[in-house]
Amino acid sequence: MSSQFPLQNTHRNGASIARTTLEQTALFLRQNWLRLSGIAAALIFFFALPAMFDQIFGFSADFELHRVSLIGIFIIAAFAQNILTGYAAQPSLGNAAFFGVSGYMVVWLVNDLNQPYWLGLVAACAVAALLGIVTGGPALRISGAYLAIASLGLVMLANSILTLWDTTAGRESYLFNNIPAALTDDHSLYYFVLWVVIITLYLGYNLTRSRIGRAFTAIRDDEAAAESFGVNLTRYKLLAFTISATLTGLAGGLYATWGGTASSSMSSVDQTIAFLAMIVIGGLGSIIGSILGAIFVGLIPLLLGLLPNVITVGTVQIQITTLNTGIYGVLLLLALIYFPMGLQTIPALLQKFLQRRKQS
Amino acid sequence: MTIIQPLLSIRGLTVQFGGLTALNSLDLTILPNQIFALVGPNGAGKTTALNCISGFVQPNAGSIEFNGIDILRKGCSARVRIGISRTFQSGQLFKSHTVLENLLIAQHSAMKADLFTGLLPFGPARSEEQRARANAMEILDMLGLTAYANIYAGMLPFGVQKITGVARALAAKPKLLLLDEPAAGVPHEDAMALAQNLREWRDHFQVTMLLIEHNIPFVQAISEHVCALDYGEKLAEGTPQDVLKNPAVLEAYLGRDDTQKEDADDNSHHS
Amino acid sequence: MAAFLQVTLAGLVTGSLYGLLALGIVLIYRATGVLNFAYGAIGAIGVSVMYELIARGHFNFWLALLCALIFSFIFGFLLERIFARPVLNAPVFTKAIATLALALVLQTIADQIWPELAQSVRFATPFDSITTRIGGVYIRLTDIIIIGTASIAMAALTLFLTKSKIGIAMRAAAENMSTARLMGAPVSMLIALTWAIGSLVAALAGIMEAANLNYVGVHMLDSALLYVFIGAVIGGIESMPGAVIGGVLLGIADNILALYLAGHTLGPVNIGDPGVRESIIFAGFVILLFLRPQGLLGQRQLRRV
Repeated sequence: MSSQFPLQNTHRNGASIARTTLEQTALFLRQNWLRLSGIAAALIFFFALPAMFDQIFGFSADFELHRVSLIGIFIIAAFAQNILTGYAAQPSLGNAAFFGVSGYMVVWLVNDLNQPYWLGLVAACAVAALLGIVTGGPALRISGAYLAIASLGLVMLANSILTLWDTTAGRESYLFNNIPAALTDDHSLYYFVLWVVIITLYLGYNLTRSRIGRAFTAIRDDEAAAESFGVNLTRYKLLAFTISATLTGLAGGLYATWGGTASSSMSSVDQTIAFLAMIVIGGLGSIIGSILGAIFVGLIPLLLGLLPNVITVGTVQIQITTLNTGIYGVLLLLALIYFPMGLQTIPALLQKFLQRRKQS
Repeated sequence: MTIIQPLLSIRGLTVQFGGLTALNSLDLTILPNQIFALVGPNGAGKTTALNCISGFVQPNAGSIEFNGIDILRKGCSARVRIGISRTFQSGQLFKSHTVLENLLIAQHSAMKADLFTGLLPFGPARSEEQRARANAMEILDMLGLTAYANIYAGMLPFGVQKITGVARALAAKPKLLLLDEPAAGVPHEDAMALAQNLREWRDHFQVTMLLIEHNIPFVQAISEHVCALDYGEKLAEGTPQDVLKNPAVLEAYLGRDDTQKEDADDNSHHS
Repeated sequence: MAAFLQVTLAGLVTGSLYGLLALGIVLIYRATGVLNFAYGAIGAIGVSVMYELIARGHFNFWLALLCALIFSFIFGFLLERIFARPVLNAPVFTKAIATLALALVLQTIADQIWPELAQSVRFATPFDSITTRIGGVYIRLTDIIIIGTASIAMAALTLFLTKSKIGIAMRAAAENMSTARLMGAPVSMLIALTWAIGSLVAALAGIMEAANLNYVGVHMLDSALLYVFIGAVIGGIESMPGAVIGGVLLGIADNILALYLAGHTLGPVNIGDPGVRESIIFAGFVILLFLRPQGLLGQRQLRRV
């Protein structure tokens, strides 16, 4: 055991700490080349995607691209859930409440009150943030499974109220007629969402690596130790609730824009669990996990929809459409069993694989 | 003769858990740059005393003055800011963070970055971050941990975890460092080397150390002043030689079965 | 007054079913730390098997009931072995989402086997038409049987867990898996047994719900499941009696609210709308948890430093 103790202070070398900026940059590039090239490749892919879609799918392309934009919206919502659950370790399932309320707010402000779109979006985020603070405060008193179910109750409450609003107003759902012309076309909507996702994730990346983000993850690792170094548990948990609600509000506003309508199904139990499913599949406490999880949950049903309706094996005809949900469930199970820490581990596994190839 | 202003002055500290008295009117005076050891069997009230100083336990009565300031009503974060930091008996490192990040989290109170500056890749938050990193690397270098800077704390071998706990507490730039059983689970030779190192770090970082400990040879090797507790009361106080030879102290350690009082000590962990 | 008693009776009937389901959920939660979102689907499959035996196998009602319960017991056991075992040591969220995936799979399978049960199909019992009237309150024999069976089942389960050797071992395994294993308890078998009993309870509650509503469907327990979760949490999810009390309270509150809100309006809002009732219940639930975070009978957790 004595070899475990790093007690010899032989190699003290203050000079090794100070490096020039150039050297630091070079070191950073050397250590992160795989990640950086991955990001670059992903950016090129997503910016070029609409062009490729046109070539591959021809006339039906716009519809598919429209569906791809939805995945972008899910990425924001998944990251929001991840800040709360993956980083700050609050097992809250209430995010769909903010998602729905914000969707209705945007439509109400822009449609009925004739406010500019950007103002509607910002105001909806602000309302979501406020709701996040109002509900997050008391939620701090609740922990574990209680918080999960209590926040589920919040979603059902939002769902009932929004449904009631619709029934009282005598409509099926809240149609969004006043969407700015620039966002009604699928290509521009795609790029708008893409930019919002990039900016959100970039700022989010900075935040998670800052003093604030570290306070979240310190609370997750050890509340008592975090508190002993001055991390105010109440303040930071509440902050996580607020940031998460705000981003979910942003996603909700975009979703209403995307679908051209806000409906109470945005605040459904299925929707809120889908957000949790995204980060569980992708990986808790990880940005890449939020992205991969949202892609998994958003893309698999899309791909299953592309399967032929009926497959004939020998003389047996299999109705694929009726099996979609089950196939999706099986894929979900397989992902959870083989990647219990989420799909975020794929890049690391890939890196290990590449290094082993290099060595041999 | 000059009177030295004490760094920490505890008067009449009393803590009760339910009907159980964990500490009964304890007085302690710790001088600057002293290495002060609090010893005693399980349930003596050592951990409770430490928790009172670091702010995890509110005493029922008594006063705690640090540098002449009453800190009794201050929360954990205020106490870190004025220069009290601690280690934990079981390490309690931030496992999903690297050693370097552990030391950055320890500087939380000293840093100012808020939500909006934290979002940006430049500006005051970043330069502050650079300074915090430099401070952390300096401490890691001094403690011989540089090689572990980018290793996740959860993956460190036991011994390195213990030193990392000390490094983390030092990163908060404390005037008073509270060490919760630093030598627990450490083999004898390593404990002696650890005592030597802690003295060296005390000199280098100009820090006062208050430690609670079971390991008597370790206490003898490191401390300059010892206070022995039993059942929440002070048994003896003075130089290590005097206190550790005191018949009452020996009796408390050897004459009784430790296990009867486990409960009391367990209670003192709750807050 | 008669109307009030009538809805209280209805509330007691749904409440005892919620309580029974909540008990099954708490049982599995304590043993494996899983919030089982597939619980409704598991129960529905038990009911569907009974329906199959009666409708196509022309079984007698009671024989079909017995076979369905035995099937559910074995089914729960197999589910644990095939499905829950691989994720037993996964993080808690992974397990919860895995049960959700399981629910999707089970529902698809059920939809394939019983396409007609996607809609509600009539479910008849031998005691359907027997009704009596006491002081203006109509009491169906079904009501008495449901309340009686649910109470007996809940009491039996509680006795089994607290008094029997196997039950005590199951609880020990739930408290601390590795310690129980060190002490020689067959932990893996006990966890499978928990799922088996849980599945049996789900089927029993599902069949009684079918008798109560007089219809059967693959999705019949879906909406009840959320109420059941809420009931379990109101009571305190670590506490079995709490789960029962929570479920019963919720069932009664729902029915009584339905009675008093019906036919009233508040400005433009029709407060007889089920949405208003749900809003009140969910809001009440959220407020209750804010006031008493550990549920009615749960223990407040101490923090260790």
